[in-house]
Amino acid sequence: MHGAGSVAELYRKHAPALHRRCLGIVGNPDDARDLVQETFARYLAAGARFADATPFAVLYRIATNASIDRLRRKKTASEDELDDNAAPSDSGSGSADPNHTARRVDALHDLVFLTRGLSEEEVTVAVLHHLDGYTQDGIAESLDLSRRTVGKMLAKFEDHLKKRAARTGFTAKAANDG
Amino acid sequence: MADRRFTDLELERSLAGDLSPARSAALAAEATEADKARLAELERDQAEYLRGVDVDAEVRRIEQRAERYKPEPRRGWLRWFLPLGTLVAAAAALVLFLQSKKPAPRPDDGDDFRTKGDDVSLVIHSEAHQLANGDTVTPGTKIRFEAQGGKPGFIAIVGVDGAHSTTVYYPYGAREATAIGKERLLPGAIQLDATPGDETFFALFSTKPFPIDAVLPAVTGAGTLPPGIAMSRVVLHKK
Repeated sequence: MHGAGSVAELYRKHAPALHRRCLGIVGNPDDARDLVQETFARYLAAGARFADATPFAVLYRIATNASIDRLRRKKTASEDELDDNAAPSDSGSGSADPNHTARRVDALHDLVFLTRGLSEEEVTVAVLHHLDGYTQDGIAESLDLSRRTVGKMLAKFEDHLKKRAARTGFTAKAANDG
Repeated sequence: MADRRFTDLELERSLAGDLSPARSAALAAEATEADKARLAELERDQAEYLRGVDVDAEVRRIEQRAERYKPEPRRGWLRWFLPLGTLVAAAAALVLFLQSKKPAPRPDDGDDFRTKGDDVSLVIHSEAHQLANGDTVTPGTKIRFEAQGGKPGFIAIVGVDGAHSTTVYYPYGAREATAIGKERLLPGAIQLDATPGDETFFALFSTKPFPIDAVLPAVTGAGTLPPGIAMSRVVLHKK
């Protein structure tokens, strides 16, 4: 379905943004580079036949979920690996505010724990809202979704969060801010 | 993000040529100085990233990894020549299966059929109407999946096309089934490609999370379902 030439073209077009996305979550350039590879590999292996999503949208969704999944596995393997030293780099807000960075780390910790079991699209929306600080309008415009769909996904996430928190006794710090 | 009217994601999509025409026009007309500065910064980052990467080498690694992520295809006529021991094991598994007193699915059970009780039933919708098991569709038809059932749990939709190629349609390209609640019409649509022959779609459901790799042997006919997972399938014929 994809020749090497078209994969290279796809890579040149989308890899930088995907690397930024992955780096913004995992905070480590080598991991981010590996996740970009994984993202493209999964995209090619699955056969990109989605009619209602552009390659960028699908790749972005895979990259976001792969990054969260990577952190989740690291967190499971060792709680220490997801510490503040592996803080995610900011995804473009340009804030040097240490409080902002701390909130972002809190949000990331919460998201890694709380998004398990959600769909890829819901994870992507939750990360954009709770980690990157996007408004619902911003997410809707960025992902070509209706504002209503974004609202429903975030409401589902909140519901999922409450149930999971009730089940585990977990108290989300940053996700509740959103 | 002072005076920003466009998100980073929109600016990145713009750089990738992926922004919708309407938003592209809006970006051209309404971008603030801060938006333009950020766009230029992202463009520089993009160029710098590509300078630091051997794209051809990356593509080779990606293609190698993609092969690993592809499920084993069914082996077609070769399966008739499986070693005798494997056949004996399959017969033993069949006896165990029958002893479990759970009825095996039969293709004539209706528009779709269910296994392991009523935990899941796959329904496929085209743009115009609901498709029935065995319907003939044309390449390019857009379809959506609905996983009917009463229990919350975890769902995956997998397809096996006429070339025995397996695709995880929902959650797309994932390795684990995803949570499903009361909303049963799954998000997203797919467009059928031109691969001729039957394409079989499987809904796999469990009340507990499960890795999709664990169910692939069952959907490709190379094994059985792990315990606790229900399966429903719909076959469409492409012509």
